Amino acid sequence: MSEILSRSQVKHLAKLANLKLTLEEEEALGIDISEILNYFSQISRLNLKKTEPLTQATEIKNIMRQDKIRNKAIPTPKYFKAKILWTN
Amino acid sequence: MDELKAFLFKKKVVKGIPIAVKDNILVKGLPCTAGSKILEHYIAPYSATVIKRLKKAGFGVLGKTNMDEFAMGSSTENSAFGPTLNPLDQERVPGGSSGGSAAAVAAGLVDFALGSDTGGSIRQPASFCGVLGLKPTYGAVSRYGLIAMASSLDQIGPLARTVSDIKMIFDIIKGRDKMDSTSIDLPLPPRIPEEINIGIPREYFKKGLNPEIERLIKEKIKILKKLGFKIKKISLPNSKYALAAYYLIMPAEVSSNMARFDGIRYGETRDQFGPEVKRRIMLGTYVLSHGYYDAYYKQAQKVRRLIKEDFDRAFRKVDLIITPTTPTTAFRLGEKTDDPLTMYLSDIYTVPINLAGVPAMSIPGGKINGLPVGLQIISRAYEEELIFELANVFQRNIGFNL
Repeated sequence: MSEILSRSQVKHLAKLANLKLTLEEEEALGIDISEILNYFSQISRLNLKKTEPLTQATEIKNIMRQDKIRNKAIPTPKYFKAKILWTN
Repeated sequence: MDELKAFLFKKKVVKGIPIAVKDNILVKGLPCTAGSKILEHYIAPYSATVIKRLKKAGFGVLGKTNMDEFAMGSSTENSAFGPTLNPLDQERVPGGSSGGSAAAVAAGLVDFALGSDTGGSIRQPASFCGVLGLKPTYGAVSRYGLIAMASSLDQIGPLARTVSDIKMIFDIIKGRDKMDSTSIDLPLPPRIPEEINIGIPREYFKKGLNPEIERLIKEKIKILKKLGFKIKKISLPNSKYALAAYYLIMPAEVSSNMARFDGIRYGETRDQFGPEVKRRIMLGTYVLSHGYYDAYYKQAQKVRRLIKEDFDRAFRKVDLIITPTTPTTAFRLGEKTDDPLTMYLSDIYTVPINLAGVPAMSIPGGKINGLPVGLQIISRAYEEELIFELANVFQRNIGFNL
């Protein structure tokens, strides 16, 4: 997987990333990213078909709470009654 | 320095024991720039949980410390507000990204500082500046109020000049916080075995390591042996893939976390991002994009499991692992700024720890030509106490020569 990113690929990525790049930046980033990816592509050659991805090291479970209002400080809204103005 | 402290107390500039705080941790009412132009005028509307806990314990924030922009860098040269110099040699970098915190502690401006560590950002600057720096277990310290970089790796931790200071700050800031669902309480009481077995991974003493650093670290290991510790050679065979996995997973998370800086919610527009931030956003966007996700991102996550399993296997045989913190001592300003890949390689001994989620501390391990060398102690998850035990042995029997 040793490839050099083309100018149009860099432009497309910048669009996805919501970054406005200058021409110099486009050129420099294209080279930098290609170099970095080439170095790091050593792992794409490993055969890891049986290995599960690890997303977070301690693998603790999500902590959920009941979907209830907890903050008692929120004042209860004060309503007032009005006369019925019209009916259909 | 004592005069300065007395003055600050008298004028009530600091209400409490002074501590310096990395500028990506929110302190209510103070600017929080994260070293970026984007947040130059941003004032924190609330305090991070770690700050609230420290204030309750009698600490006061003396100031915010310089850092690589959004914690992306290994030298503090990526700060939009200029580099921090290493107080031991002002032609050299203090390390990064928590370079300001490490420099402040090393220069004696403060006794303690907070940093954040995603791939070595506390331990590497601690090593370069000759102080102690702890990266706690993932989840041991609440990150509520920390500007996120890579959320599956980030941790807040202390920098200081003694083991007891590190332990004191850690004990204050650790523990479950309902504002951070990844935070947990550490099991009590901590496990301290009668006999501590120490592992030396052969992969950390290979080509690329400065031979003088190797000599100093091995010298320390010999002293431990004489003191009665059992030293075992171990292997962490997948270490060689850690840097690649890290520099694929981290930018992916960066590109997602940086999306919130859209020019509407916080500060300035995205064109104000510095070159390293743009580079990582682009890299992250690439590895997450259709067609490359499986080859890069998913593959990197699989390698991450291999790295964690390496540590699991090693910790069945030993209680602690000792390695160098960095392959070199502090490098010169500008030495690596032109070549991002060379800069990334300086994190080679610190990133596997973040991928595995275990804690590690860098302690001073001697000097080469006046430049400090860091020794890294790694433990199982939630066994920071054991790291402190061994660090205390070093402090008592060898000294930190600060």
